[in-house]
Amino acid sequence: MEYYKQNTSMTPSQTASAPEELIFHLAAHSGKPAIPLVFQGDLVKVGQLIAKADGHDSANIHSSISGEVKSLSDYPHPNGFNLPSIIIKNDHKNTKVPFIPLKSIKGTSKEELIQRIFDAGIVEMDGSMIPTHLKFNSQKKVNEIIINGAECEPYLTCDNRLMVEQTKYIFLGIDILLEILKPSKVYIAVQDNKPEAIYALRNYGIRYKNVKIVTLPTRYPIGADKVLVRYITKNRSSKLPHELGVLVFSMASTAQIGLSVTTGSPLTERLVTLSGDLIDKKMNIRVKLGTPIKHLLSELTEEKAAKHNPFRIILGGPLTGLSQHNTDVPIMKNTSGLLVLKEQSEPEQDCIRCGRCIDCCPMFLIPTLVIKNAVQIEECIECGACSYHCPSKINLVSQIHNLKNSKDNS
Amino acid sequence: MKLVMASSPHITSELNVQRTMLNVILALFPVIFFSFFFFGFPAFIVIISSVISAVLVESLVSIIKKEPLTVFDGSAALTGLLLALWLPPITPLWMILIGNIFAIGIVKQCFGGLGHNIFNPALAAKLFLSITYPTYMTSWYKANSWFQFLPVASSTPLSKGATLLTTHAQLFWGNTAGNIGTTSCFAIILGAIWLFKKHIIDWKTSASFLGTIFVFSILTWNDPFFQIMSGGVLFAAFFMLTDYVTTPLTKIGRILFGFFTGLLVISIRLWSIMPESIPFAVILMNGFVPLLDKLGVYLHLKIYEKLFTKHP
Repeated sequence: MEYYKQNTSMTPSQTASAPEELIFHLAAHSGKPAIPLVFQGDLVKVGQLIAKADGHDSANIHSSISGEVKSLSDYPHPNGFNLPSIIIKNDHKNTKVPFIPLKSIKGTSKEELIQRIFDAGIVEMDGSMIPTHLKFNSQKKVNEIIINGAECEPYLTCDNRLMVEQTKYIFLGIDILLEILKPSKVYIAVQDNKPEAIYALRNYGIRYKNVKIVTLPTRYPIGADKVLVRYITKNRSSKLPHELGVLVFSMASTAQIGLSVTTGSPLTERLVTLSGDLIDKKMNIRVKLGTPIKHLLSELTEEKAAKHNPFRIILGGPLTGLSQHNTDVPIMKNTSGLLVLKEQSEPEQDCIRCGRCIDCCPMFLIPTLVIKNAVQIEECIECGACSYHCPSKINLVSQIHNLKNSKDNS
Repeated sequence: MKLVMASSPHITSELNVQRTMLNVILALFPVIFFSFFFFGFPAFIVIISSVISAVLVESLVSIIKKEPLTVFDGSAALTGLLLALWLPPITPLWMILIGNIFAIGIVKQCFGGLGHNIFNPALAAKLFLSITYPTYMTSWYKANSWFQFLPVASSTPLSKGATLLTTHAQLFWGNTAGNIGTTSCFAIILGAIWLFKKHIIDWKTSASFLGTIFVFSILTWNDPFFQIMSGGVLFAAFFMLTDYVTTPLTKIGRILFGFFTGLLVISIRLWSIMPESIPFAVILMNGFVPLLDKLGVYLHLKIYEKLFTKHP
């Protein structure tokens, strides 16, 4: 597999300018959408709560700029639908609500720490978007925590930059997780194609006795939760990670926990990898949540777009991300990458029985049989490795996805 | 701005069917070169005419079936090339045409084209020709010089009486009588290295096949190196048993396939009067592929996860 990481992994991350208008979707996490707290014409400040969590299975949403609420209306969501959202017009004054910093992590109660995580609106900042406070619900004793910094998808390097630039906050986040969950061991899993990140983590983590930095082989999809847990714990049972007493946190969320709990500032911006064939200035960029992607794609001019027609704009990684049909969609809490790729799809051919899909399947399935007879279909984690490797260009994973959906509906 | 909406994944590997076939054809270039070196101009004629007739037959079938042309995926050219390499250096052109009509027209396209054929087209055609025209298919010529026009009849190292006269070095370089492409072990190994490097073929099938032959020739008190280096065993191990379409899907199935084929090759060589063991063994085992597939899938889902830890 080609990884295309060399252009962005070594250069320091930059900060994006603030756009004129920002869009905050109420469905910015898995679970119930948040309830809006502002009305049209209200003035909001940076970090102000604009939509509160609807019960426990939801997350708070904060404004990332100061300005006036333009409207509450439906707006394109990365999943392709028009969904209710809060649109805020930027006044460029950048006035902030006061944040209350935490005095010290030691001595603060477990409940208060979880409450601070909940207040900051932190979700898992990889594909899943599960509100992070839900992870502390587990009844079972947590023995091991895995911080997932594998970043095995091609193009994406934002977690790599995060590990290099914000090592301090990652370890603050680990301190907080240690305080809350009291696990016996913390693993930080990093793929071996990120030597800079491993070096930074080793340097910083030398005084932690129960934190171990695990170097993973560079192989997709080793960063998928189930695969990662199996690799690290060497436990090959088909139980879910939390049943084994293992919790997986994404790298970006851990750093965000460290930042939000100690300083009190909520989740309002994140690192996004801006890359792809049509992007000349490939970089990691710190973006305010809610920024429409067209603001970041300013270099994608009319002529350039016309020259390379047609192409794909992808939010997330190239193997599991979502292709977008317009450039109004905003950056969400889980948007790790913004990629503009040339259209390179080839026509589908008959299966030549090469067996590559079986060799690359991390769950030891037989994808050709899964699409035919739905053999062990629930095991599939939809990583897309089989579709990537298929020489006949059969999109196995989308067929499996459709089969799963039709099974659920019937 | 025209944006493409599609389900993930949004990138695919460089490798497609055409590139796979092209890589195998490239891997056969050392073999082709050595066949020119040993069998000269007649071998050249056989190879060229076989590739051309295979491509022609494939296009003709596509036209008759009123389907888009499938010759550009390279599989027809590869079949023609493989068939030519299994033929004696002097084969009449009409026979090559018949062989390709059988390989492409009947064995491959009658079953539904690439990906659906049960039997290996090149070996099935070779088998067909050696049953139909046994005298032509067993007329071997000495490998002696560059650009020979008047070949000298000879017998292959495996025929009775000639075995003792052939040295291992001769077998390794390919300086013996035999089929055009199957004599030179050196050239075949060069091609195999290319295929392994490009991750086109899996070493497990070849290893189980060669290992079986090695072990069973020791058990039956034969020279194992002689058995492996003669009669196209190496060629079959790297270019025939690794054919995707006609071998089992799972790794376990492929290992079993290699084992049983090796067993058949040894049995045919020692206790049968057939002139060629490989085509018979491989075609016979091709018929068992659906069965091995069932067994392989069962074993894969049951024990693969515990046996192999290659993937995390």
